[in-house]
Amino acid sequence: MRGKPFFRASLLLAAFSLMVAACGDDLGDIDTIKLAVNPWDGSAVNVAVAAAVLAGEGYTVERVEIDEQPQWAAIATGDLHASLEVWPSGHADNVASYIDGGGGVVHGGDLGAIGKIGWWIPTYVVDQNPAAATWQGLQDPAVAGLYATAETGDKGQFLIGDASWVSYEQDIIDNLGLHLEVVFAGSEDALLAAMDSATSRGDPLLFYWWTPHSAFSKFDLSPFELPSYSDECYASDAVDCDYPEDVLFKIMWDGLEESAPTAFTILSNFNYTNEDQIFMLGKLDEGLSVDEAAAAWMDANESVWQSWIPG
Amino acid sequence: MRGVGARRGLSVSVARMTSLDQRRFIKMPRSVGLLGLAALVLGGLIVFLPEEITAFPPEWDIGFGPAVNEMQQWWISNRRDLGLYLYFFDPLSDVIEWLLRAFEGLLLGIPWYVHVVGVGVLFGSRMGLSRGLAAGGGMLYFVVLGLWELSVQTFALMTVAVAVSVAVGIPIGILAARSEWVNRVLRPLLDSMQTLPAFVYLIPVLLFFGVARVPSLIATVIYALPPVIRLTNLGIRQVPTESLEAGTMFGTTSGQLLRKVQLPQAAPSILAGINQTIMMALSIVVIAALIGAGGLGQEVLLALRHQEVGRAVEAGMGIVLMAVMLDRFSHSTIGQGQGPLAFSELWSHRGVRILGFVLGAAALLGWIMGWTDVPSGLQVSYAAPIDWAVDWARDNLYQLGNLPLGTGPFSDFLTTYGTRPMRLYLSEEAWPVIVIFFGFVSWWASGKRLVVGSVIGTVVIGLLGMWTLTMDTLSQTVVAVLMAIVIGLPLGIAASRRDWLERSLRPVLDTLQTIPSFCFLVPVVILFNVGRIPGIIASVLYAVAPVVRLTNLGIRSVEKEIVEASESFGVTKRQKLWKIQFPLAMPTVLAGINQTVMLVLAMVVIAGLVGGAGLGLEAVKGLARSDTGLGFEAGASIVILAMILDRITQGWATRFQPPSSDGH
Repeated sequence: MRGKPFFRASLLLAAFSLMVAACGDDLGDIDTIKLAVNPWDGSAVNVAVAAAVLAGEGYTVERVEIDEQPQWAAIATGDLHASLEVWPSGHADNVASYIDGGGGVVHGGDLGAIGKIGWWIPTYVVDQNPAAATWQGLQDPAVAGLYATAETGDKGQFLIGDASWVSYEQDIIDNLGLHLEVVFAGSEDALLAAMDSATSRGDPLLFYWWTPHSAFSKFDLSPFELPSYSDECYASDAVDCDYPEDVLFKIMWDGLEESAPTAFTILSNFNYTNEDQIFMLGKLDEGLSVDEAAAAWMDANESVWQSWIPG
Repeated sequence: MRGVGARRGLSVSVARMTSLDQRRFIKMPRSVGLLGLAALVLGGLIVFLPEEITAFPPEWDIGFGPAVNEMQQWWISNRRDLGLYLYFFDPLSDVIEWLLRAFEGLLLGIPWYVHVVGVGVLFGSRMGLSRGLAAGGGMLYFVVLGLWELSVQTFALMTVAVAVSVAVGIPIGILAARSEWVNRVLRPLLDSMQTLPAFVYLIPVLLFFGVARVPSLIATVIYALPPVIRLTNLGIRQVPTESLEAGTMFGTTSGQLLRKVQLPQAAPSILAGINQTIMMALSIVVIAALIGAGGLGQEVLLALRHQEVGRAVEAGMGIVLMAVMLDRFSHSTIGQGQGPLAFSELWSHRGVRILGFVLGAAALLGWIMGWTDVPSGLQVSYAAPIDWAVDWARDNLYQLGNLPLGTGPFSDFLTTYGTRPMRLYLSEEAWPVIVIFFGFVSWWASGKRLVVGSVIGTVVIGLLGMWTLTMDTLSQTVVAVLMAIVIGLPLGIAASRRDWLERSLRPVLDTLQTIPSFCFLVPVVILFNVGRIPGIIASVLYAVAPVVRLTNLGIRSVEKEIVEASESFGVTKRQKLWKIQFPLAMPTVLAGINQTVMLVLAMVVIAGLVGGAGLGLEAVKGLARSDTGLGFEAGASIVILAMILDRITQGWATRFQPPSSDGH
């Protein structure tokens, strides 16, 4: 019984702070823009730049850390407002159902940066055995055997990471007659760990990777030579050539234009090049935070981001 | 009196020793055993037949994947016009989101030092000074490692998830206790909720509950709900009928009976259920972060993405610490048997009251003045030595000189002579042979009823189009479980003979079981290469604990009289262990193996993230490609496999149980 007054008092206190918390959040129309931060540095610096520009126009920006697949469902409901770096090769199905199918997401224009998926090997492999760096070389079982593991037996191992990545590996391998077996590492993290392990010993490793990526600052990687890309090659059923370039783009909630027109325009205009992004990724490697890296880039490129702001 | 008791104990124990060997023989009719054996020998040869005969007929694939995906697509395009979404899911998620943020805001508004002292006092008052100091020190961990806000986020999400689980779970548990029908429907459902990998339902949950924090909460609730329901149900059912009859005699209504008799008596069991629910909720913190839960889980994921093992371990150990503290605390309430009521008693101490007011004032003052930031001068980190240790292991343990020793050669060896041949055999063996094999083992372990279940179950896996993948996962499970037994059994036996070993193993095992497996992902790949082996190693690390614990417990709880009696017969130490203690401990050891099997299966998806292929990779693909149908097909196969293996190992364990009729 004696506990009751305190109990009531603490309830009161709790209720009071709840009210304060609630009042702080409720400022009316959409002036809090929620941006998706996907789990890679490029995405984080994009959002940092966008957040700084939007904040300059009076918006509050909330960053939500979320994987690239689940983000579509969240953007479709307006619970998230935009994601700034979508790789087309990984999201054909999502584009079909959420954008083309009227699922609540709109195409937000190109990011400007261009991605490129390809086959990669540590540079020391090229130096030691140039034949192992070309597709013609891997038609020879003896050369392909360089990449063999206990799991793949006589064949060489071709390592691919995250299961969400669109890949034509099996097609390319079959159609070019390469003595390789595709092994799914299952996650980007595992593939990075495999690179770390193999390069520490100078072991050969052949894998699916892409640029721009921060891994290039840690590992010395070289492209593996595939027949160069052509539209005809991808139009046919039998893909046997290198990947096309990925034109990265932005996606937004289809209600954003109406509820936050200025933010929508800024995010639609948001556009910069690979060099801009790599500049900031370099700053991260120097130990700066994403926001500091974004600020450094914005200081040096004021005209670029000023041009995104309407009026 | 004592002498009589002892003599009686002796005669009983001698009787048990003699009946022991008979019990260990297979009870199945000999004809069935021979028939099964013959079938298996014949079946073993079928592996040489062409694939068209041995493979599960692809045209029988009635997978529900496409249907699930169509439903998902329909929901995506139509949900904004649906009343169910507009007036139920959307407002519901708004309310939960608001609650979460308010709670988080409240916790963060109270300065960290008030939390530290407050938690210390709370623990100290219930469990003594040393525990109180330890708890306060534990809270400081989050502060000095710079994890304060993240851990508050995780704590808030988990607390609300547990509150929702309790609010939903206790009524369902009561219902299940009162209606046999509900109970029967619920059981497989709860089994599935606990064994279905969370990866599978992350996307659907997002589609129903939109906002980033809410779906993670719902996913947590789905995973953590079963223990509350189970133990509420169990607790009420175990209320002695005498108490109920007494109540009815005094003319109480059924509502009164529930509130005044059944629930209070079931309270310890319900609290145990809540304790388990808390542990389960903490075990999917990292997975919930995949869909925006933030907190410590997100920190682990980010650290992984940058291959910073030390940073991941720091956050992971934060989760372990939170689990340990919540576990000890909830156990202390269970021990006192009166739950939260004890707080009013606590409050009656003058010192506690004064301290309470001081803390309250400090909280208010700190909140108003904004003294809530953790001073940056306090920060420490032990990430660097861990990263160094990982690099050292990579450079020195992968291969020892030019010898075929080290983690790399070990991985190759296990692949070449373990997983690969077993996988090839299982997936190339004619499928009916495997089905018959499961039926046979089920009969041997448990009886005819299970045969029907496992035959139907294995066939359904085939019908889902998951046959080969399931055989892949099965082969990995077998290797991982064998490895856990090979490591765990000797450790458990050793621990049962040395108290110091038992004591020092306990925190290690607790940590292995509570630290998020994501923390191991990078080191296992670095040491054992991408493939099936790193997943198996991670599974063994996670799943070895029950074998060790229950072997130790089983041997230690063999009655002293039996051991002494055997000593009087002059048996050697080795005989004592292998002829007396170990056989009598067998039911407990097998219960441990049963748990280990379940834990290994819970790791299937994690294995999929490091190259484990099989069902785990399919579940990962389901999430990674928004292919919910595929995810559910793989998830359903994991559930079926888990249920069959669970019932088989359980049945096997009960075969060793001494006949219960000798109770008194």
